[in-house]
Amino acid sequence: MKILVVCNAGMSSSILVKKIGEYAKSIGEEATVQAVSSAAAGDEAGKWDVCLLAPQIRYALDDVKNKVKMPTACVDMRVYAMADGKAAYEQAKALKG
Amino acid sequence: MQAIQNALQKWLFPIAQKLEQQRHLQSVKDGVVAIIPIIIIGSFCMIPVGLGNLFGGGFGAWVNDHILIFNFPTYFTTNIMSLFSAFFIAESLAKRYNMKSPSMLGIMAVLVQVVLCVNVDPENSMIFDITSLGSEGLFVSIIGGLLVVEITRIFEKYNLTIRMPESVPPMVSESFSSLIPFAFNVVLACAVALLCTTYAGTTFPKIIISLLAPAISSMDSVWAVAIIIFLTQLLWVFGLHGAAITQSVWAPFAITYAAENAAAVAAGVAPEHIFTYGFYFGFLQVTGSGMTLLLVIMMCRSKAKSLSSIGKVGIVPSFFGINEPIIFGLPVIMNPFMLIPFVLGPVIVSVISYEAMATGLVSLPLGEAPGFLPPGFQAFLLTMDWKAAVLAIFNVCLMGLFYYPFFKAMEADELRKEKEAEAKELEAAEAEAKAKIEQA
Repeated sequence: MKILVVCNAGMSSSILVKKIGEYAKSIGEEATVQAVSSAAAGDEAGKWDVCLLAPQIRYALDDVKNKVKMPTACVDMRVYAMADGKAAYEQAKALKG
Repeated sequence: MQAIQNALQKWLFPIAQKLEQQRHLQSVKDGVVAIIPIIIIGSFCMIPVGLGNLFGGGFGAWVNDHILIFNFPTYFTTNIMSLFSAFFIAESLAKRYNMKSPSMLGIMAVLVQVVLCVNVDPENSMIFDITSLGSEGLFVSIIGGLLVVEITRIFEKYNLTIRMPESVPPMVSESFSSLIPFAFNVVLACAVALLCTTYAGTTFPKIIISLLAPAISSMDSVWAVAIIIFLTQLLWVFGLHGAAITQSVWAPFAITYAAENAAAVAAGVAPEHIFTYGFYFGFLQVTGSGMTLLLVIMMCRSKAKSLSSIGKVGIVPSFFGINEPIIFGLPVIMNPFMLIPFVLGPVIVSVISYEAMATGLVSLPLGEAPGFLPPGFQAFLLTMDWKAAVLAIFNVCLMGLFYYPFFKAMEADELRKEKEAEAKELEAAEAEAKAKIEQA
């Protein structure tokens, strides 16, 4: 499972990235997770399974989706605030389908 | 309250969306933000000068004697920064259009920038005047960078390119297909540059600067900063990244100011501008939008479990300017308790910070400095003035004072809710126990 997390500068999303990785490891699944800025998202087109978007740039959902060309969804605010790796990982899995 | 919130939400979200989808604005923002590291390198050359001024005496004199050595890197960074912005703006726009070779368009924009900004003395072809490649050229690079891409798109749209037989390797055919738009862009730039020098007696960058002068200087005012901060904070109240959204309008100006300051300092003149990129982040957004550090500490110490648990998640990132956990977790978003301190507090802070610099109490920015640092660090590196660090920390403390009464009210509300929930649980447990006894 390869998950890309996009926020404005790739800073705050790096907190969630760490927690998603930890959760995936704890249930014995393999996950590659990375944070990038929305400006750099275009370079990641098609390289990942799914893309999660930070809630503070949810207005950019269409734009990012268009750039990364893979299933993209916005992370819930509560999940993002608490850096809830489990919830975010499950969301990513559901998104991959 | 709810009606106002709904109305604002209905207006703000589409505006944010439109701004984000406006390719030109976003490319300009990405392009100028991309050159900040280059300006930071140039600004670091000012550190010896700043320290010399700070300590004075023999050390200050020694620095002054060697100023040319310390300033050497600025010739290749801030002084020619518009070359880099031209590249990044054109590349970014080409990427947004999904064009084939964004870096080729970036190079095209660099070449056009050189043609437009470098003044060659016809009497002596060895003399290149490159002074306009610095901050003066930034707005030229915006115009040139965008136009190069748009013109190339027109050529591609009407298939005005050299096409090679299919057997030619793609690398070769691609370099040829860009040849015609490339040549057209360069010829056009040469024509513009020559027309300006021949008929107007001045250079293209000088004309652009004099046309834009009123707009450019008007952004560096306490009113502009206060309005920008107000909008930044208001957007965050709706959970939208205020800095990212407003930046697409103000970043080109703030970065121009920073470069002008750096150029002034390198030339031994006092810097003029206050509203730089670093001023916004190092003084007005320290520890995150809304300067929430003390609020986070209050949360950590709170008896309300919901508040303390979020506070603990958010405290370490807060020191490095990341407070999304607090904004989404407290939450600040749509929270009537936080509305007043979070939106109006930073406006007051911006007026204080701006005036502190305008009155000369705190030194002006020398250029740009790295961000995402604990409170005071960016402010100090930006100005080489310890009073700037004090001002940044003062701002955080002042915001703490603004938050305190509102936080207490919110905490009381939260504690009441937690108590109610506990009482309900207890009641349920008692009822269950009673039912069990009755059953027995």
